[in-house]
Amino acid sequence: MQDQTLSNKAAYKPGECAPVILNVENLKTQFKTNQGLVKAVDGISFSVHEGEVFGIVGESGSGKSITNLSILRLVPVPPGRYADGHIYFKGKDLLAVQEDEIRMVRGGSISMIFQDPLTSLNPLLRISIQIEEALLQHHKINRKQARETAIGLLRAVGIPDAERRMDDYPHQFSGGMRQRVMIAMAIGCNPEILIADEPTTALDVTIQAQILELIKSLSDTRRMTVILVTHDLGVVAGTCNTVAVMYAGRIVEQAPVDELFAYPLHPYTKGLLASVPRIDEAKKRLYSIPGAPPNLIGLPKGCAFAPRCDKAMPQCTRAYPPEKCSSVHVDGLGASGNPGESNTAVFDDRHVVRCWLYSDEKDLNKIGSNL
Amino acid sequence: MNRRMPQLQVRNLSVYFPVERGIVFRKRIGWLKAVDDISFDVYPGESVGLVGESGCGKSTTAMAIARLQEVNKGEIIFNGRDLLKLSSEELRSARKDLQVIFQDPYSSLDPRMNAFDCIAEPLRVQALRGKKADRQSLSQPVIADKVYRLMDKVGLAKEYAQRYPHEFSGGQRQRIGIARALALSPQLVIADEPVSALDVSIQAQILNLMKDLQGEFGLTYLFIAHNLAVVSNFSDRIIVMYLGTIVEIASSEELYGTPLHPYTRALLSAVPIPDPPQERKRSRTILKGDVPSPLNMRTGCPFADRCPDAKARCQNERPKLSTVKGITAEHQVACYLYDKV
Repeated sequence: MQDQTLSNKAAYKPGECAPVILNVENLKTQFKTNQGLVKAVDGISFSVHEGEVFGIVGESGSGKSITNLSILRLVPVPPGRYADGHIYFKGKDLLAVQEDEIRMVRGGSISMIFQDPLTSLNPLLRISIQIEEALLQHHKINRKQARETAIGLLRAVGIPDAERRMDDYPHQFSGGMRQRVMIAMAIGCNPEILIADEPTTALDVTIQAQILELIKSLSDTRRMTVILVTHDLGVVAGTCNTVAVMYAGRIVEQAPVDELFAYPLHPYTKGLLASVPRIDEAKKRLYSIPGAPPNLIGLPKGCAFAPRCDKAMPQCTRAYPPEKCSSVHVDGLGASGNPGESNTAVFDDRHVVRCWLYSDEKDLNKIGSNL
Repeated sequence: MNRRMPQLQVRNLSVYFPVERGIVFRKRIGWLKAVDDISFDVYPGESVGLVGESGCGKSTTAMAIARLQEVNKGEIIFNGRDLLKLSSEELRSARKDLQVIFQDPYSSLDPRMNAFDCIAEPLRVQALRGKKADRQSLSQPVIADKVYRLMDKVGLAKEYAQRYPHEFSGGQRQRIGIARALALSPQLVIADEPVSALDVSIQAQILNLMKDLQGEFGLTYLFIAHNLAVVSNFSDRIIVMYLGTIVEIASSEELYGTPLHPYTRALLSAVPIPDPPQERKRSRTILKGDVPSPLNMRTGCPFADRCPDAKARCQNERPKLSTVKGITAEHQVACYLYDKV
């Protein structure tokens, strides 16, 4: 099965990239509600390479959190449903394994930290018990050893006076310290993948800088792969290696971080980048994407961004655009500003986009015959 | 440049919250100094940003100016009158010129009032209990006409008037909040984190709308936010707060170009820039530790504990906000690293 997952990545030149550790294929997570079917995640595919920091950006309701919950199979079923797709982690399809097997993955080889550290910690238990819990679950060790390890973990995440603070309750910690406790819990079993779901959204900016620094250094020293979910493009720019941009349950664009910011292709990505105020720029009128993110119930056919897009064409509302690697369309990119340097040196197969602007006649003919 | 009369003068404003202990016999054990002796001016037509991390007192300052929060000490002089000395009658007519846009568009609108009523409420209050002239001029059709014009101004279709808050998206709700704040044609609008609950693409819409309305109605903004990038894009001048005190005041260009206070510098360097090569190049000052508790603060500089450049003097004496050598007169900082003019 592993060979099969790797063969999908034939596009990668050997030696250029670390091996794929997580491969999501055509994942569809849906929710049944009284109003109708919510396609929270609607057929997304991506691969995460060992040791990289993979960013997922999107606005609220874009499906970024559900993607992550799906990886650990934490979406409540029902009302949720994994309608289609596979999530291969080291060759095993996490969506197909038994419940007790996925339980060993959770907190073991893949662990997760959440946005709000206060609601993710049990207010009635001392943090020592909460950190030791995962250690005792996954390793054959006794309480005393677990405690030793837990103290070491708290030190590793930069909590001063770790031995004494071990027996404090969550409310005795500040927001930044609570997030450090969460990270200590998450890295306890030396996970191969750490999923961080908006880890700094609830924190102040100086504390955010501390936490991001910690996550980066942990991923370096422990060779940990990180999936970082955020809505803040600034955080992505400083932390991630590869970025996927999600809109209405789909990945509209994915690229190495430098390339995404320098040569965004999808109109949504372009709009998003232009609408963020930057501290290093002079005051100016911000670009704003018209309209609001769509309701996920009864999404119309075609590209969900089309109603807000200033480049929308007739085919945009007829069918969902096929995935395109940007290298095919390098010549068409003169508009992005630097046509001279935009050729093969910068672009490679890893920049994929789903937009009709970058498809050719063959794709158009396909939907023509479908209609 | 600012030779005009300030529209709003805040002088030695202090807001303290009592800290009590005991359930039956309550006893005050101390004061939490949320805002501690701050002074600043706001001139007509400008946007002044108030930034700081959570707990620095920026929202308390805003609420105190709007008289939504009791004040312990100080003066809030608005158009030449001290708001703190007004009777409730006088305050009601003064509030016409001073309106607030709140942070959370989900909880700042009454769920049982439709959009029309939300926007019309301030007009109706003035029609019932305002000045005599207002009571006569604000008839039902006049109010309706005003509400529809406001809805149009903030980009809400007329058909939405009968809808209730839960039927609107966050951005639309914030538009209702803005229309409500503008209903009485105020001079000064206090915007308390107006965009922090909104998505990135909606944030830009609301910020642009607020800018447009400023040009059209000649508004003065006191804009409060924790996002420094948003504030610097929106404001002419920026006030940086830390633990209830003002540490620096400067024009937004100058604050980014030559930040003086060590806290401002750390804050600026912590703001991520959406540009990967530049992010890698930046040198970061990462502050150690958390913001200390504002309870029982010591006498020295509130930032002394986390300051990389703290000297012995900083521990015991609190620096005053003043202009310093070599910097424009509008740029003020409260730090002993610089020589006073």
